[in-house]
Amino acid sequence: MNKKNILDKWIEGYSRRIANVTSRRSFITRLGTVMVGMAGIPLLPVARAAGGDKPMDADPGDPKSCDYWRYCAIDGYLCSCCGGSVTACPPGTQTSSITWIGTCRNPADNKDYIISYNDCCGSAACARCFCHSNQGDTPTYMPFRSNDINWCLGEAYNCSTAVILGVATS
Amino acid sequence: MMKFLNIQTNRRCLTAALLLLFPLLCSAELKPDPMHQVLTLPDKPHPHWVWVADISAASYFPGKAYLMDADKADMLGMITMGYGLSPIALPADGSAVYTLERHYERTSRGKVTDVVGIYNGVTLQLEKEIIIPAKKISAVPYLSNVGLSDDDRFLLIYNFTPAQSISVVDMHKREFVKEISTPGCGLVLPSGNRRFLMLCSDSSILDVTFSDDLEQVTQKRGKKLFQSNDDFLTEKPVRYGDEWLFVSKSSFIYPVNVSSDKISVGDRWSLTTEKERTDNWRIGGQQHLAIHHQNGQLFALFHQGGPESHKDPGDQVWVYDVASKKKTKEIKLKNIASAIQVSQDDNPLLFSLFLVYPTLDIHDASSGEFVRSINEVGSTPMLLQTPVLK
Repeated sequence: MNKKNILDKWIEGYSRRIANVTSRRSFITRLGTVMVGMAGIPLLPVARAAGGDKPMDADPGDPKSCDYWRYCAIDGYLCSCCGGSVTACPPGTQTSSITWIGTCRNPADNKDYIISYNDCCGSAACARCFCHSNQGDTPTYMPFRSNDINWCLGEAYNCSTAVILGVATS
Repeated sequence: MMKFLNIQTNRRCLTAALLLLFPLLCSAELKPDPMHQVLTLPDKPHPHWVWVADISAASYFPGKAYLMDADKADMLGMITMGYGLSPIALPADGSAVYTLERHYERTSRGKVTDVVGIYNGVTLQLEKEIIIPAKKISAVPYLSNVGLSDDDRFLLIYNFTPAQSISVVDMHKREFVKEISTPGCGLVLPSGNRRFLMLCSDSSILDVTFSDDLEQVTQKRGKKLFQSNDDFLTEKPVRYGDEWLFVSKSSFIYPVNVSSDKISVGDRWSLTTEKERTDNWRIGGQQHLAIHHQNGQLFALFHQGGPESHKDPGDQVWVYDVASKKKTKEIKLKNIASAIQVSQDDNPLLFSLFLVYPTLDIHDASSGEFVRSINEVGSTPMLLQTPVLK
């Protein structure tokens, strides 16, 4: 990708403002809800095509676009544009062991979902589809909702996925 | 008549001959240039110099620091710093530039080594590397990720693995000394010769003091600074004398005084009026506060945006008199900015840049008038640092 396009994407990422702003509730409450409910990683009640990023009715939007609802608190390059998908890292990379989370409202069912932004690591930055949204973002000294941290930690950062952990309930 | 013609003819011939010979007579051949020259900087930094740190976001390899001369609208030199980007540290005597670097054995993989680089302040040549624990935070860089003790002896480095700690490096002995574990607390804010503050995730302040040999380390946890995460303090405070000035997401200043053994938190005050808050004026950007120490002025980067726009770039810089807590000026920037800094002289300049565009803008910090831009400063510049002048 040439420099101009990268800059365009950065500008685009900055200009995004997610319309479906969620109500602000306690992070601890939400995290607790998710952890209690995480016998298995919950999925949206709809089957997704294997390895595909094509949105379904229950999961509307384009995972290659910064407007996609799951990206409400993301900061980085979208793995969907980098050879991976919204839930999987690109070939040749490794997944980060820990992540930061956000809470995003799915416009299809109007529910808030806890999203885990798993970074993909071990390579230089993908530099495609930069997306920067800060809904619910916290400073780096409150780390687990901070999108400023490279969650590859000791490794190089490639891109970010947006994996649903579950529905956030108050 | 013939004689006159001859004289005229002779004069013309002479003039023509001189004109033909002139370039040969006056244009001496160029001599060979001296080979292998490398320039150096002046002995002392100039107040209108500014370091621009670039994260190279298209790959995050390598972080770079460009030294720019705002008066000459020119670049003076640069330092290359490995993966990602951490702020540099500048001792007051100008003798060195300290860098915090991460290096992989095989460019993007292999063994990770974190080092403190000591670069000569005049030659910008590397003098020494000090290997430190490979734990430094890898993140969007903020000035609060690294700092020098007030006497410039100890370099303090914030680690996040995600275990949180501080690495302490003795810059006199040029050796790593100790890692101080600080669970639950982040950033590092030097607050004396042997003291630093940290902000904790429960919004309290951690006050850490240590002895010269690091054998004695005391940690005191203060009360919570703010009650709601909806209005957290940003990681971008500025030091003004004995006070750290923190700013909250909704633009309130929280002064924390470190002049005595026990830190004291002053009354918070707002950078915005009720009308400005109604009009959604907010602080934003990656480096949104700057201080002119001598004039007691606080510079703050503002934009209009929603409650989650705390990292959005700003188009105005508002200037405050810290003593009276009053706004004294609004500066409309030539271009939007994500970082601001101010020079520390009697004719201060306001530096600003937007990380998307590699252009450094310069305004007169007193009048607010636009002075000039310097183009092609890196690719994705993020931080602005001016020399410490004592």
